[in-house]
Amino acid sequence: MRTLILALGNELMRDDGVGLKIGRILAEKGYNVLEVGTDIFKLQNYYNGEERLVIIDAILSEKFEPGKIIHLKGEEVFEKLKAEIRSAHFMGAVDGLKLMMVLDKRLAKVEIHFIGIVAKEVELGMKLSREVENAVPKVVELVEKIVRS
Amino acid sequence: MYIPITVDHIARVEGKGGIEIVMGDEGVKEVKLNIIEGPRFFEAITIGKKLDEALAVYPRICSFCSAAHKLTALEAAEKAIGFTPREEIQKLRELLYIGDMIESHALHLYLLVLPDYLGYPDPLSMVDRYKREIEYAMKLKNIGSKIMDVLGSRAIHQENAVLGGFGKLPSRAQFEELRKELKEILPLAEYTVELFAKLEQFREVEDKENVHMAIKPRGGIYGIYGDYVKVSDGFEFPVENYKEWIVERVVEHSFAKHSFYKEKPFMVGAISRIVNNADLLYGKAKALYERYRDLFRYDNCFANNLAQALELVYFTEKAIDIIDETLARWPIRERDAVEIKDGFGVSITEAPRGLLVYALEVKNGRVSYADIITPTAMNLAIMERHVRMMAEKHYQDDPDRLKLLSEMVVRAFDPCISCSVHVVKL
Repeated sequence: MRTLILALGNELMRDDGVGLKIGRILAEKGYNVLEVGTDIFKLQNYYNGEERLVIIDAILSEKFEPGKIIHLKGEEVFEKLKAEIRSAHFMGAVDGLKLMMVLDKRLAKVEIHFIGIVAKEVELGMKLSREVENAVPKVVELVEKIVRS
Repeated sequence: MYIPITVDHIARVEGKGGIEIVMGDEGVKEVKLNIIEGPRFFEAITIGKKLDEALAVYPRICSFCSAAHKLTALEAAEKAIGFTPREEIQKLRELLYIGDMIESHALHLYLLVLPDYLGYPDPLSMVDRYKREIEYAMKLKNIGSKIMDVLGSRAIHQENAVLGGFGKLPSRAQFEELRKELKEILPLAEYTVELFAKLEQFREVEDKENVHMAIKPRGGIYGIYGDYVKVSDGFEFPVENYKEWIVERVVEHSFAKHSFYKEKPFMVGAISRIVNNADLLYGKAKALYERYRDLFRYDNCFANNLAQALELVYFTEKAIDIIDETLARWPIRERDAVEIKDGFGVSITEAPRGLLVYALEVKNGRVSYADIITPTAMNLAIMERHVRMMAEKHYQDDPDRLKLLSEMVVRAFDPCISCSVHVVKL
């Protein structure tokens, strides 16, 4: 099964950049990674019919401790994630993905994984918090396991 | 009475964003637009960084406007070190910038503005009935992002645009493919003008005091780069004097400073470009402008939507022309050597949402001063005025109606607040 890894985030906002940082580690290891930043629609130009998508992103949570790794699959992704951002300029990543799935039948059938890392510090800066930094190797390992499965 | 009206969610964890309309005994007492402006905080991050490292940070401010930020910062930096790029490099940078313009306008018009007019809460809800429009949006958006990918890089940071030119230029075949695809989407861009010409421009916000600011395009052709700013009252000023004429002021309720020209709010964006520079259009866009001339109103911010639609046509044609010129000059050397000298440079360009200012000072190869003013920051004051005008006419209406109309006013300005974070909530 071919896999495309989507790295989301803004690395100028500390822990919000964790998805991009993990994406770069995986890209160096030779995995198929696309950095989308905050523009999920970038997927459209680079989607080559991969059967599996793995989305890596920072999440905010009051329930879970910083650094906790949340792994959601299939419909869970849409049911459990509330897009926090619907800025006046673009749709949230989850809404955007749903829209692309309606337009592209290949995407509609794709196996979706979402890996969220609970953020601690989301403020100006480029350094990850200790908790989130500690989660990085674990996420890399988890993604490699998913890709090999 | 206090009516908080949210303009979607503002992408920040702390603080809240949106419109607040405060009602008094005799109608609307106060309108506050709380938009947090990201770039203001990002200037500091680059002070002390080597120039090329700083230039790698600026496009990260916003994934959507990464080309605008990169190219404006790059021009300011090159002015600071006393370097002027060759004409063919300058044109290719404009082509890269056009990619940003097409992508941004397509998303704004079809995914944000159109659902309001058609009565849907979001584009996902309208896809069953208006699939064609959503597909057009995606095709237009995709050609814009493809231009940026081919010239800027696959990643979101436009790292291929460098001091002196480009890291690597696309192949002749890549340019030819882009040209073919641009020609294919031109009818979609024209359809967008016809569609948006039919949409209501609410007269409640007609404002005869509207002042528009836009770049005076270099070379006398409607475009993105220039050395002077034109104001619709007939005044012009060199970009270096921007602080005299774009006066920023802290206002109590906003994290972002508000901007004023001669003590008054002013507007920037597609309609401001049309108001100031319509005589410099050419091709199909010129013909469409003539056909719908009366709808490009200086006194109505809703005309900004139609102006963006017209620019989809104009910039698609201009992109084709730039590719033709590039291929006629082929092969092109990708860059020239630059020497990093001390200096100060200002660039003002036309980002999709209007004027974007970068002022950079370079000392000993490092950035010693940075000032960035975004179009959204410039539009805040006039946005508030027009939301107030709308609220004054509709404060006795159903709150949902008032909320929608107020949001539509804000959306007409196409504010960009995605510069900050986008984390999802669980």
